[in-house]
Amino acid sequence: MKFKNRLVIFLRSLFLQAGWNYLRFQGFGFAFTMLPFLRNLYQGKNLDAAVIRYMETFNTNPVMAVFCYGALAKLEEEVALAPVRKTSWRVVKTFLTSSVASIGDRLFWDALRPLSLVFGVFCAFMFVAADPYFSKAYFTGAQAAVLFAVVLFFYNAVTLYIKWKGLKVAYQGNRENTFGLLAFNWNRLIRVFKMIGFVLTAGLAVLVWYKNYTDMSLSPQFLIYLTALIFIYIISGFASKYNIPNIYIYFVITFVIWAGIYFI
Amino acid sequence: MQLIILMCLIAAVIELDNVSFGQFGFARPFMCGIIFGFIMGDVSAGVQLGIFIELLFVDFTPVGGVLPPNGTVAALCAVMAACYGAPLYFAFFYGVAVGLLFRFIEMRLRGFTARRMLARQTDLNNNPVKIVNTFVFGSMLFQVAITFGVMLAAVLAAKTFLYYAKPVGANMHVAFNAAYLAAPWLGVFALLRKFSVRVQA
Repeated sequence: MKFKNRLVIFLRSLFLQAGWNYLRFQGFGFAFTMLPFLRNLYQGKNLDAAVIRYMETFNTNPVMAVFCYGALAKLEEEVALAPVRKTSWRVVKTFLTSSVASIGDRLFWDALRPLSLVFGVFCAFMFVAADPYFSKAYFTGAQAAVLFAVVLFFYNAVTLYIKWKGLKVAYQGNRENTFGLLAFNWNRLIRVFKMIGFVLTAGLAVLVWYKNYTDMSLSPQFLIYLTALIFIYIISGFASKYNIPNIYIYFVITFVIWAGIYFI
Repeated sequence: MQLIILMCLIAAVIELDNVSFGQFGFARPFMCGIIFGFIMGDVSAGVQLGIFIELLFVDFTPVGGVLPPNGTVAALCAVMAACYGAPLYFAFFYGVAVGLLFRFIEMRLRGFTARRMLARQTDLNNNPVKIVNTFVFGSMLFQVAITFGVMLAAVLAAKTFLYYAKPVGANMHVAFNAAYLAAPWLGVFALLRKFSVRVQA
C-alpha cells in the first residue's frame, strides 16, 4: 500500500464511529474511511456501488478495525479486476470483524485502558504521598499536567502503534497468516498487561491502606474501616457475579447509610 | 454565564472523543476532570473527581452496542458543582447521576440517527458518496449540539440541586461522604477481578 493511501486511511479511521447507529453500526464510518482508496479503483456508478457495499453493517473494535481496512483494501483490488470475488470479500469481512473485535475488546477495553487508569492513579498517589489522605490531597497544575501527559502517552503509544503497523501487515497479509493478525502475539500482550495491572492495583491498594489506616492500629476507627472494606469487597463480588454495575451499588450504599443513620 | 457556556462547549467537543472521533482518551473522566479542573482553577478537585468517576465506571465495557454512563458529562457536572462550592461527595453524586442519565439520551440519539438514515434511503442509493460525507460530519455536529444543550441544562440545574442540598441534615453529609469514599474501592476491586482473569500465553 502506498504511504499516501495508508496515511489517509489511518487519519480517516479516526472517524470510524461517527454516525454510529443501531442499523448499520459503524457502516458509515467504514465507508468514509475507505472512500479515498475506493476512488483510486472506481469511478462513477461503480464507485457508488462499492460505497454502498462498504456501508453495509460493520461492527468491530475501533482500534483493531485497521486489520479489516488493510485486508479488505487488498481484496478490493482483486474485486475491481474480477467483480465475482465480492462474495469472498464479504466472507473475509465477516470473519475479520468478529475475530479482531474479540481480540481488541480483550486487549484495549479489558487490559490496556484499565491499566492506563491504574498507572495514572498510581502516579497521582505518588505525587501526593506526603498528604495525609488522598481524598484531601492537593495537586499543583504541573503535577496534573504530568499526569495528563503520562496517561495519554501510555495509552496512545500502544493504540496508535498497533493501528499504524496493523494497517500495513494486514494489507501485506493473506489467508495463510490470517491477514496479518499473527504479526502480534495478542494473548501474550494481554497477559502481560493484565499482570502489570494486577500488580499495580494490588500495590496501590496496599499503599493506600498502609498510609491511611495503619497508624490507627487496632483502634475502634481502624476496625470500622476494616469492616467497611471487607463489606465493600463482598458486595462488589456479589455485584460482579450478578452483573450489577458498581454505579448502582454506589447509589444503594448512599441510600442504605443515609437510611441507617436516619432510623438509628 | 460566559464561562459556563464555554465550559459546556469545550466539554461537548471533547465528548466526541468518547465514540465519534479518535478515541484518544481525552474524554475519559480522569483526563477531562484534569482539563475542567484546570480551566475552573481547582485542579485538585478535577483530578480527584475524575479518578473516582473513572474507577466507579471501570466495570463497564463498551462492547458492541453497550453504552456506559457518560464519563465526560459526569466529570463536567461534578467539577462544576464542586467549583460552585459543593462538597466533593455531593458534586460526585450529582456528576455520576447525570452521567448515568445521559446514557439514555445517547441511546435515543443513536436510534434517531438510524431513523434519519432510513428516511434518506433513496438519497443514499442515488448519491452514496455525498451522503456518507454529509452523514459523518452531520452526526458529529448534531451530537455536539445535543451534548452541549444537555450539559448546559445539567450545569445550570446543579445550582438548584446545591440550593436544596445545602440545608440537609448532618446524616445526609455522612452518608454521601461514606459512599464517596467507598466508590474508589469498588473500582479497585473491580480492577483486581478484571486483571486476574487468566489468559493462555
